[in-house]
Amino acid sequence: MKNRYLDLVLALLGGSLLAVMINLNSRLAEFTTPFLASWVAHGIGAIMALAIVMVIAKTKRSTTTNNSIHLNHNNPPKSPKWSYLGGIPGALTVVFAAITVNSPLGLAGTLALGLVGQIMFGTVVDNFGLFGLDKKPFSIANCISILPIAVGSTIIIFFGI
Amino acid sequence: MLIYIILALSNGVFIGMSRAINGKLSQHIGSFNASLSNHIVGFITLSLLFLPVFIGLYPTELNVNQLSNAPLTAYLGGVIGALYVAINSFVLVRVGATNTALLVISGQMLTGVMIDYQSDNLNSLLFTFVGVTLIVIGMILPSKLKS
Repeated sequence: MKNRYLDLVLALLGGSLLAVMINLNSRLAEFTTPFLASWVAHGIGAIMALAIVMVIAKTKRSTTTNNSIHLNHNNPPKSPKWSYLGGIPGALTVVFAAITVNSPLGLAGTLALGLVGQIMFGTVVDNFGLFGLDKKPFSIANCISILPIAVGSTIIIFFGI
Repeated sequence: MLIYIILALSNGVFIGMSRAINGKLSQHIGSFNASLSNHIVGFITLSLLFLPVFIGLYPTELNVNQLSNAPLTAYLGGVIGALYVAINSFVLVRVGATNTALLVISGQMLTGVMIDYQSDNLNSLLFTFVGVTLIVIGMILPSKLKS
């Protein structure tokens, strides 16, 4: 149960980071274009991730023995090649968003439809266990969280902000 | 108009797809390595898309020098991005794609509201309050019903 709350808090934190990130990236975009801003942000993100990975590797090396290799049995042995390509759809979202924000949909329409797309795609991925993830069949219970969150977000997007 | 609607919906699909693929990768090599891979591949993808601009085939007002005018804080978006992708990948494997999407959206909305409240950018306090209440209900209700 404790772990459930940890996941909840972490996922919410992820959303908070996203909001701040969008705010900062659009400030950067004001000086150039959304494309160039995202390009720079990806570069900086790569450097940052590399730094974290190196720090973690160093701490691990100094605190664990050689036996630690055998502790990895929880991880499936080999990652499929396609799983390294998550950055491609991620990068393309910048391009898509730049187009739709400047269309009649505007920022609000872009946000609201993006949210619908995310939730729909999430239910499909869960229901069929796509991308080698665990299967979580769709149930009516899912709607209990989907409906209020989707409606609440849409109200905020169109009328609140 | 329909094409824009499809594009905007695809945008959400692509966000979810990126998250799911990175989640899968994190099961094998860890969340921060997955974030590293995501950013390198994303950087290469955008570089390729930019190639015509970079080699001058496509004259635009795009000027890298303008970037130096941006305040240092504006560059922190990339730093936050590294953490964001790692957290997403970590959580997705544990709670599933739907719940990750819902919770990340909730966190994004609640934080967005706070940022806009701070900078006096809220259009309607009433509608914002109704929206926030619905989001919180959607977050709490499933666990209340289960227990």
